[in-house]
Amino acid sequence: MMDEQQLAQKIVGVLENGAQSVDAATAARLAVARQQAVAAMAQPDHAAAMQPLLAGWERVVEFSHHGGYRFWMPVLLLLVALAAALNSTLTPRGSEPIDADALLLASELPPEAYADKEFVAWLEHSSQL
Amino acid sequence: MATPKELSDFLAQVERRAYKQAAYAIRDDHAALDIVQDAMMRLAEKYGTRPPSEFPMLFQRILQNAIRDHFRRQKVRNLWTTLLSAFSGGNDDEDEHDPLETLAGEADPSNDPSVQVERSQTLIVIERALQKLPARQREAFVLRYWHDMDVAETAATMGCSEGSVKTHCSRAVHALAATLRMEGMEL
Repeated sequence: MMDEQQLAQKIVGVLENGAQSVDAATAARLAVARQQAVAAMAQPDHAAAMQPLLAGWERVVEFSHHGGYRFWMPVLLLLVALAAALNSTLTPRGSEPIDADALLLASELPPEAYADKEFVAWLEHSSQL
Repeated sequence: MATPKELSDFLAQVERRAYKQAAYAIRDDHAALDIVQDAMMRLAEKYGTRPPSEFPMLFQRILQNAIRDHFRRQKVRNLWTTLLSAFSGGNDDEDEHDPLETLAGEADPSNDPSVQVERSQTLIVIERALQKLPARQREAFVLRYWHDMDVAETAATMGCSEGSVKTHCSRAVHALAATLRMEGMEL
């Protein structure tokens, strides 16, 4: 009776034969992938130059990968809300002065007429009639 | 510190096994190739300067993580597909879809007679049995026996206890042996 270890070794032998006889296209693609990997290893200067940039980004990605989004999402939403509030506060409510200017310019009366107190009084009086 | 030749030799030694390992886990040959390629690149870029003796464990950890990431991405993709198909509602074309076509499309490529000629019946049976094993049992079996890691290395790679590795391996071997017996095969 074959023991567990021996049986495992025989099974692995069959699997290894199968793996070594993969089709030519697969073998070629694996060989290309290996060459690309070795080429990437043989470029330490490029890798070193990119390291600080990538390291920071990888930390962020890794952090979010491990559930960091639970922290970042509320912070992001808060920032968006703050930006929206600031925007609405700082933006001048432009439509009212522009409307007044347009009314003045389009009127047949000269702008000085609106500064005349007697004219204003006459307007009020005539509107009450 | 490893030289490019040492890295190349290591990858040449494990690449086909790794490809098969990924294919057994995810059952998609093209995705398995992508995963192995990514794992190779990651090993070279991030750990290429490590001693060659560390390569087997590092590569296995990268490969296992890549396989898990694949499943994670697939889960999200499936979720979106389900949601979108729920929104889009029924499609007449889909209603007319012949279920037999789906069955034919999902069939194992090894059912193709030309492939069957090339591959031995024993290998096909073992590969199918290996695919049907629970993921952790398959992982333990492949690492321990195929990649020839000892129990401690396998446990470290899998992130579990040595006792768990022994249990997973034992169950895997028994399940494979039972399948071979059922098929009337002897090794």
